[in-house]
Formats: sequence, C-alpha cells, structure tokens
Amino acid sequence: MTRFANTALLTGLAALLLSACGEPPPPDAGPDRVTIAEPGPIPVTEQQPGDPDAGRHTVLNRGYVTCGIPEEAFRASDIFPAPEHQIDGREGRNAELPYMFNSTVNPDGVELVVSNCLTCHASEFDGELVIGLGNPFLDFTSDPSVTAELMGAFVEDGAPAEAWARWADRIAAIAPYMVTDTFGVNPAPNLTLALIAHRDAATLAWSSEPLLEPPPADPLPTKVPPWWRMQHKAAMFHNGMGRGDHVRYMMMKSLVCTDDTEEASEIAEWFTDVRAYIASLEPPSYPYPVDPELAAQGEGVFNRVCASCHGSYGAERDYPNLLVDLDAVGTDPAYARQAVESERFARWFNRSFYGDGAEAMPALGYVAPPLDGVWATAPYLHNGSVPTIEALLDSTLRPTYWQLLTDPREYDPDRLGWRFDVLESGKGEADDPAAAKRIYDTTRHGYGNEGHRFGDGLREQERQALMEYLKTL
Amino acid sequence: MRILIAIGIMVVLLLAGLYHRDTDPEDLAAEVPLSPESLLAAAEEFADPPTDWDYRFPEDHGNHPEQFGEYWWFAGQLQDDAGHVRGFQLAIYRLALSREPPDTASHWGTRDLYRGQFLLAPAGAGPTRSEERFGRDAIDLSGSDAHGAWIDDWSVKYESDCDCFRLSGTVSNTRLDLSLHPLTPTPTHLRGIPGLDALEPGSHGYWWPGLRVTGEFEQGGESSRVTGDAVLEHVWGRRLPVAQGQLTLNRLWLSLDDGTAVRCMQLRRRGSGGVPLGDCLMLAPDAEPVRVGSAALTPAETRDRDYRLHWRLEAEEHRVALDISPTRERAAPAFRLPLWSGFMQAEGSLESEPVDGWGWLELSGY
Repeated sequence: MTRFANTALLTGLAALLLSACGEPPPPDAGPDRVTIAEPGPIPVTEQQPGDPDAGRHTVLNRGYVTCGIPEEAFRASDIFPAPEHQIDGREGRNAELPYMFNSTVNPDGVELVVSNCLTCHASEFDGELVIGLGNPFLDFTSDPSVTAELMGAFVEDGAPAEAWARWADRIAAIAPYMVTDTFGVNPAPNLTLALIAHRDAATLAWSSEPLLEPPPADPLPTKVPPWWRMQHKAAMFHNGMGRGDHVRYMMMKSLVCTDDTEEASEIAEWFTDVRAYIASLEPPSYPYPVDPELAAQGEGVFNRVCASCHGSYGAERDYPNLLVDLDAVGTDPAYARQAVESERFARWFNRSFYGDGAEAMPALGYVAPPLDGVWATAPYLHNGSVPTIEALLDSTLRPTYWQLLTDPREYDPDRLGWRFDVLESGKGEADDPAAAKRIYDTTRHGYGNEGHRFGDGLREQERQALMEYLKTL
Repeated sequence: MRILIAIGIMVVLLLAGLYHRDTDPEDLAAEVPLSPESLLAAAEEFADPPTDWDYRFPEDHGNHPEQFGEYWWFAGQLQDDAGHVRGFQLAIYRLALSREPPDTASHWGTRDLYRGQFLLAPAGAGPTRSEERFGRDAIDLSGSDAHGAWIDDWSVKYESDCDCFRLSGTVSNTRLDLSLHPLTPTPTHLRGIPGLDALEPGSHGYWWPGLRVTGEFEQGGESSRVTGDAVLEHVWGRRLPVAQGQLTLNRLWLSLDDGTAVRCMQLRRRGSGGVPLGDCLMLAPDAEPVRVGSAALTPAETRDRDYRLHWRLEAEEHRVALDISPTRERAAPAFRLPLWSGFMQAEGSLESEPVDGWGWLELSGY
C-alpha cells in the first residue's frame, strides 16, 4: 500500500464542507422548511469579528477534530509521510508532525494525532506549501477504513485502544461515502452528509446506525476552493448554500468526533478566530513573468466578458456574489441538483447547533466566484473537470479524458494549470483499476466539463490577453 | 508497513525459543544480533518484492533467500486403514537476519532463523499432539534450499522425480511420512495480502489445495497406511501477515467434498466491532478463484478475548453459507508463540446444494 494512498485516509477526515444559509427565513417558514435559493446576487451577511492570529494558531495547533490516532501508534507505524514543510507557528508536538496533522490530548489523557484543515486547504506550488490553496493532488480513491483499522496493530490496550476504536469506527461509518473513483477530486460534501446522517440534530449525539437516509455511496467530485476568496464571498460552497455565519460551516470538520453541543460551542469560539484568519488571507503573487501591456489589454476583455458575473479587480473592487442559474452557466448540474434533492441534510443543518446563525439554502445554480489568484487554482469549474484556464476559455480544448501529471507535478504557465496528459479513452478502457483511478473521465455522472463557454467567442489574441490579465489577479 | 513486515518479527521477539535445545544460549546471543530493532533493521535491508512475480515451478517451491521472510504451510486430513480420521499441520517459517551471509567464521554463524509447528489432531477422541521448534541455519540443523525447508527431522520438500511434495516428521512419538501429489497443474497465485496491498504487494506466493496424500503413519512402533488430501501455502516477501496490537490474525483453509477449496486470511479487531480486513478466495473445481469479501467470514460467537473457534462463511452473491467449527473443542497448543491452531469441520450449502468438508483454522493475537 503506498504512502500516497494511506495519506488519503486521513485526508478524508479533513475535507468538510456543506451548505448554507444567510437570509432570515420568510415569516411563514417553519423550522423544517428548507429554502431553495433563487438565482441572483447573494446578500452579504456580516460576519463575527475575530482574531486572525489566534485563528491561525488554532488551525495549526489545536484539536478541533477530537478523535484520531494515538500518538504512539502514529509514530510506531511508518505509513504517514515525514514532515516536509516547516510552518511558522507550529508549536510543541505539532512541529514534529506532517502539516496536515495536529496534536491533541483526549479526556482520558491519550495523546492523539488528528487531521487538520490543511489536508485539503494547503498545497504545494513550486515546492512551497501555500496555506489556503486547495489541494488538487489528493487521492481519495482508497478505502480509508482499511488504514484506520490497520493502525490498530500499533495500539496498546486500555485508553489508547478505546481512543483508536472510536476514531476507526467513525472512519468506517463514513468510508463508503468518501471513496472517489478519480484521483484529485474531493468528496468533502458527501463525507459531511454521511456524518450528518449519523448525528442527532438537537444533541449532536452519534448514532452507530444512520438516523437519516445516507447520501449516495458514489460521491460527486468537487474542487476545493482557495481560502483567500472567503473575504469576498457572501456564501460558502460552489452552489452558495452556505449562508449566514460562515463559522458554522467552517467548523463542520468537527462533525467527525464532536458528540455534544458543549464541545461544539468551544470549537465554535475557536473558529470565530479561524474565520477571521481565513478572511485575512491574500492570494499568492503570480511567480512567473507577466506582460503588462498584454495584461492591460486583457483587463478590457475581462471587464467586457467576465466582470458582470465575476466582478472587477481594478482600483474599485467589486464582487457580485452572483448565483447563476444552471441553464445560464451550463456546467455539470449534478452537484447543485443533489443538494436540492437531498434537502433532508439542509433541514438537519438548519435545526442543529450548526444552524444557529446560519441557514443552508441549496440552489439550482452555481456562484460565479471571486477570481483573486485564479491562476493558482487549477483545475477549474466546481468539479475540477477542466485542467487549465486556457481550456476554460476555449471549450474546444477541453479534454474528454485526461490525467494530471504527478511525477513531478509541474505548473504550465502557458496554459495556466497543472500539466496533464490528454487520453484517448476513459476508465472503461484502462489497463487496470489503478490506471482507471488516474483518469478524469468527463463522461461520467457529475464529472462533466460542459458549460461556461463564455470565452469561446473570443479571438485568440483576446484570449491570450485575458489569460495574461488573470495572472495579475 | 511495519505491521506486516514479517511474521518472523513476532517469532523472534520470543527469543527464548531460540535457546531451547541445541546450543548454549550465551553463545548464540553473542553471535546472533537479536532484538526488535535489529530485526526491523534487517527487514529494511530487503526491498519489497516486485509488483509482479514471474512464477517458475518447480523453482518457486524452493526457498527465496533474497526475500526477508518465507513460510511453507501444509495441512490435511488423513484416514488410515482402520478408518481413523486425523488432521495434521506442519509449517516452517524462515526469517532472515541479514541480506548477507553471517560475518563470522564460526560454524554457528546464522543468516536465517526458523520456526516450525507440527500438530496432529484426531477427529474423534484423543489428544492433539503438537510441538513447536525453533532453529537456525547453522551447521544445517535447520535450513532451506531449492527444494524446501527443514528443522531437524521435520522436512517439507518438493521432489521432481515424483512431481510431488514429501512431508515427514515426528511429533510426540508419532511419525508421518507423506507424499502429496497435486491434482491440478498449477497452484493459485497469491499476491500480497488480499484486500490490503494488492497494488504494491509485500509478498508473493501460492496456494495449492486438493493435494492427494498417501503415506505412512507410525505410532508406538506400529505403522499404518494413510490417504487423504491436503493444502499447501508457500509465501515469501517482506510483509507477511501478523497479529499485532488490537488486531487478531485469523486464517482458515477449507476443503469441501464437492472439490471446492476456500482460503481466508483476515485481520480482525480483537474486541467487538471494526472492519475485518483481508479476504477469502474460493476455488471450485476447474474454475478460476473468486474473491469473497472480508465481511463474509464472521465469528459465530461473541467472546471478545478468547479464541473464536466457531465461524460462519456466508456470501449470498457467491451462494455459500458454511458453519465452521472444531472437530472437537481443544485448548490452544502450548507454544511459545501464542496461537490456536486446529482441525475443523464445515457444513452448510454451496450453490444451493448441501456440502461439508474439513478445514484448518489458525488464530493468533488473542
């Protein structure tokens, strides 16, 4: 079993997202009513103030996921990667761990290694770890319950065994809903829904048997958006369903193991600062040369073709936070439709601790996101189905079958995306299951690369200018 | 993955076993660098075997000294002329201390350690005869070669003149001399630990059920002819299955009277709950082996800490439902390596037809 695949295990614990809320419910809305949001601008909700520095400290050091691997077992095994990146502000044991893990101690005094936000929300660019950059190279194609169970081989009897079993049981419960069939895509929404299915909305108590009908076992692919956009976003998630207090969504990573509202309240306080930290992040600067003249031409193209949905990025910045109807944007509808069709999860959210100040509001559309640092955030569209900005702006270049190159991963400044191979056939024609997992097959349900063809009408020179401009955002 | 590096690690942690017979313990300790750390270091000297093994027979019946660990494992059911039925098991494990030959001129110099276990269990009344042996390859008291392996008079070897395996040894004054003839031209290849490391297997090997057995059974100066059938498993590599920590290792081999054979290898939480890891292979006559999910094999009793001796193999999609239990309730053998190993019987249905058979179960980590 590769370290890569094993890392995917805890990886799963990391990803958590869901949906939304924001506007107060209509007066006639009962507690069980789920509002389906209409296309249009999403109202901005004022967020709680917090301390960004304290938030960064929490992200990097605290146990907001309260179950994990006993530290002795973690150390005894050799299945997790050695620390490769030193991050300022990692304290104590945290500094000895790979960046995607934090250290904590459970009430029984067992030191645990737990996953943190950076599993999904940090990624390398040119060898540097960029906090806030969604990781498109994660591998969720392996069953995480296998590694979780195997870790028991390193666990001693007593309190460590109980701690391990609690964690491994949670992983086993959600594993069927978080194994993707494609390398690089993220199953976080489905994973979150699986956790919700096991929890009482009022008390957050865990039930070994689902209390709600679980989500489909075949997770839809999603891409992890960059954190630095949050300061400009009125709602969270690709379909804008995360409305209201963003803290309540960001802290949902704690759904893995937080079994009561008392613990959830403490984590919510921590995450008030975490939200402030995330909202304080700025995108990295484009690390390669930019042609300023061409970029200036591109700004004109952008303002003509893109700005009405994505905003303007001149001296006066504007972020429309526009929820665009599925028919208008034309991108793969599966993700948005599933959120609407499975409103039981939004209902659970709205009635739960997490819905205090927030309201999950699914919609048949997707939000046109802020584009700060967009050059760094390949692949594109909500499902990561388009490998480069070049292909995003010229749909004739979008490959039906493709795979990211990973050995090494390399950024292509001409196309604005990670280098990839175009393939002749999809998963069905792959040599073996391992090869099939590497193939992004846009003919599969939820993986479509259609829509957002707003760049197709551009002349090539205009497209090149626009790409140059996007490097400056 | 260290968990699976080698069954030998666990074996050698019981260092006392190495000192039991033929040498002065202090001499051996001085010459053999034994500690968990040194063994892990030795394991690190060995690379994982290649992803795909180019099987060659009969060569692969012999030893694979370039691999860190290895085992030859035989079990079977014998019937003598008087109709007495017995089960037997003889297994020899090899573990390397180093890739290189020993750096010593002493004839006690050791590169490989060996552990064997031999059990003979009557289906009816009567005690199970069992013995555990440890050895090393110094002066050929124990060893392995291109034909097989041995510890003193325990020997498992392939012989080309008969295209069969010869198994011989004495346990508690009872001696077996058996010839085991394969009835199928090739064995079923084993690649890694089923369900765990199929992509990057830490081991390779083969499983050969349905061996036709003929031979002699000698006890108290009287010998009798025996016939029966047996199963062989021979595996080599750097990561072999081992019970450890909270995980038990449960291994089951079945031979059913319709000719179907079953092999299960399962890591399961010692306490209740958890996700069973591993897999079962089911091999019908003249068919390709099929994999049965790890959840198909479940203990039919709920005791958390004791050995679980009663099991059920049930997989609706494969139309199999079998209850597996010991031929007689027996205590674990008094080995230094704590495990339960015993002769089993199975009954139930396969493809909607009633079926029964014999089997062997081995449990460790309880």
